[in-house]
Amino acid sequence: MAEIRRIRIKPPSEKAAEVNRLVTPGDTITSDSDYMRGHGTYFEDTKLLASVAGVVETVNKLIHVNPLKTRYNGEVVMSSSVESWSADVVICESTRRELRRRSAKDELNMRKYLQEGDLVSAEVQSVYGDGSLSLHTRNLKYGKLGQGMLVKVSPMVVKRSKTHMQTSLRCQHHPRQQRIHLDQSHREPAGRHPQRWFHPEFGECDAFDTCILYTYESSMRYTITELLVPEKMENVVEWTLQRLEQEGAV
Amino acid sequence: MKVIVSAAEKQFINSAIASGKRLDGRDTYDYRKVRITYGTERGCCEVQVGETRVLAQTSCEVVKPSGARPSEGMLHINLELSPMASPTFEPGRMSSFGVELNRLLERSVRESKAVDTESLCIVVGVKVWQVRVDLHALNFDGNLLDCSSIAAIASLHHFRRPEVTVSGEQVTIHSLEDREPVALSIHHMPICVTFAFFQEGKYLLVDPSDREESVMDGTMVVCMNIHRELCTVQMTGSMLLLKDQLSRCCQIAIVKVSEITEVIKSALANDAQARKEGRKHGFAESKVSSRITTGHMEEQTIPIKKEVDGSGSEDEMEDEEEEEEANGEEKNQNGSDVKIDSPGVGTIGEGLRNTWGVPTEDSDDNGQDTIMEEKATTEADDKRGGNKSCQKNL
Amino acid sequence: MAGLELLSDQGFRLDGRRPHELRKIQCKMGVFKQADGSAYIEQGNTKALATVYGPHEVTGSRSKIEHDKVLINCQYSMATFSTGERRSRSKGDRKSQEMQLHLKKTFEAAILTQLYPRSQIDIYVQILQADGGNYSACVNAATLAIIDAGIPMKDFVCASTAGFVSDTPIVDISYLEESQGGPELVVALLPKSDQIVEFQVNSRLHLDNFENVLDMAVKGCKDIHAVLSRAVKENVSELASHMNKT
Repeated sequence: MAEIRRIRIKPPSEKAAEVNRLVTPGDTITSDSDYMRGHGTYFEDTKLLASVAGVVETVNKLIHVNPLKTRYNGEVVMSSSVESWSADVVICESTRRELRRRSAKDELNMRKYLQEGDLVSAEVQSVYGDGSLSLHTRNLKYGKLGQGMLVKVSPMVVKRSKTHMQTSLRCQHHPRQQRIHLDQSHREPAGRHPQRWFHPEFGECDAFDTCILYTYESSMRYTITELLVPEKMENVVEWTLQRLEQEGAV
Repeated sequence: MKVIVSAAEKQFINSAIASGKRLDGRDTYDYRKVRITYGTERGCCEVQVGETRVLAQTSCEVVKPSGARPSEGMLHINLELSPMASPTFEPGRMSSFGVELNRLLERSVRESKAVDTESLCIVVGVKVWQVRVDLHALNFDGNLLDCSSIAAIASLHHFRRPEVTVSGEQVTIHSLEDREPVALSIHHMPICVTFAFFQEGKYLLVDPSDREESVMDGTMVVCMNIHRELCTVQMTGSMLLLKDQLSRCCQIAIVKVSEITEVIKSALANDAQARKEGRKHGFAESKVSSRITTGHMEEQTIPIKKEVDGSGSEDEMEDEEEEEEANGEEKNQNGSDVKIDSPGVGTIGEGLRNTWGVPTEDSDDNGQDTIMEEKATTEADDKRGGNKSCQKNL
Repeated sequence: MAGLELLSDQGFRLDGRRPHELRKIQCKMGVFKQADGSAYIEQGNTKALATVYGPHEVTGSRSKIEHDKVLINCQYSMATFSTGERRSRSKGDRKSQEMQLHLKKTFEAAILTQLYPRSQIDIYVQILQADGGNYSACVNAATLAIIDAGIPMKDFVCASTAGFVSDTPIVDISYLEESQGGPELVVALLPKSDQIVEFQVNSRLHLDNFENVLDMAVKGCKDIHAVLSRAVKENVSELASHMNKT
């Protein structure tokens, strides 16, 4: 198996104060009441204790514990009003936003455009008190995603950014960058991004949009079957990283 | 299984517990009244703890022993929760509540080796006695476990199995007429005591009633015998306790267990006496005849205070209590100012004009013979400022 | 198997341990990639595997949705090959139902349930080899799996058993010691605050000895906590080092 590469492309904003302290649930983080409580912590009497195992991070006065492997940073939604469609939204610190829409009540019009199981790219409009979200797809960027493969990316590898638009961009780019045999059809571009690439074991390439595009372009040098070999995958990752470094994204 | 209890009621019960009072006037460590009655058949007994009732019947039959233990008999305990006891029990598959109760009973009676199973062996590897204790919940008013465990033990002690003689290869099971049946060999009497915890472990009650169970955090069951041996202890419920709370519960449990063991022993003795003297015994004789079978409570004096600033919440709360408990009985011996216009309507003070359209002359009582009509004089008290009529819906 | 000397004159137990010694513990987190959290633990010869999914939408009956806290769903099973004799066990039998209920109640008290209303967390535990202390192995494995999944908890939940043989309390009893019919005490504890989450006593134990046995079990839990805590810290630091430049 490939050796572990420890390269992280850090955007400048994240170089804020990071207390590299590891905590486990129940550990006391601080007794100082000055700090505000963030995710992964809870109050007990006057002390702030950790509730997950992870790294303590302090941003100004906010302390939170980053659990490094978590499903959600947001909440699981289940809005079930009679009129609107209910959705199960998973919001995580990753590019993945998977929506499954289940109808609470039949709305024929909706069914023309969307059905159960469709993948939709939408933006969070507002968050209600109980955790439900209001989504909208009013921008042209959003809407139903037609083709493509869902790549599950381990959330810890993904860099945080303001908008998580990566998926849809990728899909839209498919038609343009197809340079392959017809019989390999449109599933091929998706196949070029096996999720293993983003697994920490192979390469620590944080996934953000340019990175994905570069990786895609680099991968075009090989055929599909070649790509399945670990060494070739490594090469692609290296090329991508070099390119990113050149462009000063380090 | 949960009884639906309103938030206001929950708050009331919690605050009562916080001030050391219980709904039925008991102390924190008091049991309700325990009554044990035996039936005519051996091994049949009914136990009442307050209003909770469980019927137990022990029976036995000869079976082949299990391969793992060929020289031991078997003991089975089963508690049935039928909808007869409570509308929250559903027929069919046992709920997790039922499984929990059954497991606790099994652990306390069977796994603590209360009954000597080796004495149940007839022929090793071929025939043994299988004793079954079937418990049925008749009425549920909280704390089914304690009632069931008392019933199981009382029933086991009362039961007699047929005598068996083994001569060489031949096994004779004597019928009940031939030889006197034999009592089971019982080592000790494990009794379960249930403690209910409230408000995150701050308060604790013994023998919770139905209402108290609906607001509790969780329970701790301590099963002990009078020899101060812990047979089973189980903490159930999503709560956190400290070590000294556990120890305290065990200390309290010892006292309770000895009290209850006394009750069982005296009931057994009474029944044995009655049988010996040839007196009538059994359920029919021992049931207390209740003339009024629906929600009847003994008379209680409930003071009704006069509120100066018009906030009648205390009044109304007490009145609600009255509604629940004193079904149709008004006690106004303290010279209170309740004026009964007609059955179903009472007023304190000069309220607004009654727009309910109730005729003021006495109409026929529809069987509510327990209403006392007192023509108390209304006090036209200026201080009160009127506007206080409590409608009693009977 | 009568006549087994559970505690020899020199103070050694059947497997050579002293009364206060735990069995050897080995554990690993993140054994499955598919699950949100998973862990494997070996306590002596008892082997348990736990996987955690969630928090996610409530599957099954909608009536179970709690509006103010998360629903915890536990499933406990023993593999058919886990005991000396191969025995296929039905899922619905009373003992495993009881075990499931206890696991559920234990973790309801430890997980910060109010953070995920109207959702569900699934905890699946499987015993691969049963040699006494099944419940404690399950609890310890599930604790690690929940931490691996990043679900917030008040503290670790560590469980241990204790028994009483020849006037001596012994900790972490094995199957042989259990089956001799002596008393068994099971404790699940939050080590930092000394709060007991789950507590069971089986078989007859005299009240006078109760305190000592309980203390022994609590000490056992704290020892287990030390081992689990170290394992978690190692796991976290390994993951963290992937994220940072060395």
